[in-house]
Amino acid sequence: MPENEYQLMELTVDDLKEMKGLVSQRALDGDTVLLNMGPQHPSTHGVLRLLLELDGELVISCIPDVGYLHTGIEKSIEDKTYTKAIPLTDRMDYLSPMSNNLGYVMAVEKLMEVDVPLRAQYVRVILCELQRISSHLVWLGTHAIDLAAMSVFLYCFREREKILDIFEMVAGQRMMVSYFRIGGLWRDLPAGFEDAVRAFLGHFPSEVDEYEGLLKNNPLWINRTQGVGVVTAEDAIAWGMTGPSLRGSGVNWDIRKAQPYSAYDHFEFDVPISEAGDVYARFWCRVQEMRQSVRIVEQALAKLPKGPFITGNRKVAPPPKEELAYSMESLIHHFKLWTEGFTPPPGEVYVSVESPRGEFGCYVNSDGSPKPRRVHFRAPSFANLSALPLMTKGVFIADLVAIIGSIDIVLGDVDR
Amino acid sequence: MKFGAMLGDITRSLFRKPFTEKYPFEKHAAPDRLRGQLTYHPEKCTGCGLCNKDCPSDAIELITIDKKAKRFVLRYDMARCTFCAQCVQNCRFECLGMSHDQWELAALTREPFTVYYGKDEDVQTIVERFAHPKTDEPAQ
Ligand code: SF4
Ligand code: SF4
Repeated sequence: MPENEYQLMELTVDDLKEMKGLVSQRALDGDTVLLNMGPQHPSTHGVLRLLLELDGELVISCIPDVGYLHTGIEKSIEDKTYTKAIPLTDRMDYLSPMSNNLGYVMAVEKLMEVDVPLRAQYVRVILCELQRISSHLVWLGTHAIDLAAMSVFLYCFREREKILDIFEMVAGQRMMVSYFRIGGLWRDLPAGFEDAVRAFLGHFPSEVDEYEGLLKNNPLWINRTQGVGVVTAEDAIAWGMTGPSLRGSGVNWDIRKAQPYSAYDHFEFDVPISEAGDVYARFWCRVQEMRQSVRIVEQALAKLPKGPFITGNRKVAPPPKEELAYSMESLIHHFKLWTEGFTPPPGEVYVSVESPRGEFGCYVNSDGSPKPRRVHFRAPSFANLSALPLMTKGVFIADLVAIIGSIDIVLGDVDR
Repeated sequence: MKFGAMLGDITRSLFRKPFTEKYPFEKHAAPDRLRGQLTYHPEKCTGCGLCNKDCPSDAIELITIDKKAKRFVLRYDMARCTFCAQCVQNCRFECLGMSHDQWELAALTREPFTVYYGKDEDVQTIVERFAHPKTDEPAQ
């Protein structure tokens, strides 16, 4: 072997001091190996760096190191008016921009005490549920490919493509949608939207059955996932896990049911819960959730009310352009909104929504100026990732990959 | 999955049209709402500058050559644009739009990303002014 091919990192005394609290004494004595996994590792789903302490194949400890995708979005929002900040929220959790938009606009709506028309609320539900399906499809595909099931990945991306086509038709963009506005929506639904969604819903349930069948009856899949990465319900709650990762541990907590927002209480759906707390349980919950999302979208489409798509409150929503030709008042609102923005009363709000990954919360603090004083996002991926060291104690390296996949993190969401 | 079902699946897949497209040769028709490259129609622009103010990413700059004669040049920095369409929404004279067929915007250098919109002679004036910043006399 050429000498320069493998180089072991020489630890300096300072490095050792820094690591003392993080790894065991055995690693410092050289009995176990410290290995750097990531940030450019395909199975870490982004740029996550893990510092692993290994005893042979066994993981003694695992320390996630985040910050490689830090975008400073929270800070940038402080420098923008409330409306201008919407495109930034798309870019945090790039697999579920609709949920991010929703969390943010709902927080500002609460701050401004604006009512959203029912039609807009229904459309928001439809799009967020489609987003949940598409996000879960990406998760299922990448999780499966981590465990060497290649075809599922291709199938999932094929289906996701159809959802992205719907988003493109509605919002004009496939991923960075920026479709929700404060008080409603950017524009009304385009002609042909309902048909496109119905066409998708028509064949999608059988596709889910097929993908699930490919995995759940597969002995390899079962061996790799059942009993791996177990978290108990108490631990999951203590670590702040939310979403399907929490429900996989048997805790019945879904913001859509617990604190219904945006007309979610108008629809019937179940919250899938599994007791086992392992990788398989989280897989099962997400697959079931896709079916429930289909149910919600079907009901919302059937009941979709007519009416305005954005609030008539001129303090937050710009007046329609036709009105500007004859109404001086509208013209003033138009100029005020687009030059200075609106000014919410001083105060703070926190609003949370159930994003595909869990509780996505948005905290907005206003000082009465047109720009927020502070905006903070409670990112589900961050909390779920923090429980990773707990789940990976004493597992094999190969199982570590399965566990990372099962908590469904998006690094853009972790770092903000 | 049973063996027979698998055979059926194979036969079906064998004769099915592929889902993928041969992209550079066949193009997917983009929906009308697609937010592609920004377009600007100077005829109706009043130079109010709202688009300038409202862009979240400072991607557009409205340069006034002569306000009375309605000579404006819009400098559009495509590399900064987030394609959010807020400028389109706020322009009350409908001068701005987002093209749904101009979406293949990749380039190897930065130059093609800066676009000047306006009447030809106005653009010429502005480009020259940027090229020779010292001889900076507003053309009247
Ligand atoms: S908002 Fe419209 S009219 Fe005003 S400067 Fe921009 S393009 Fe011109
Ligand atoms: S689309 Fe958005 S980012 Fe692009 S120029 Fe218009 S306002 Fe600016």
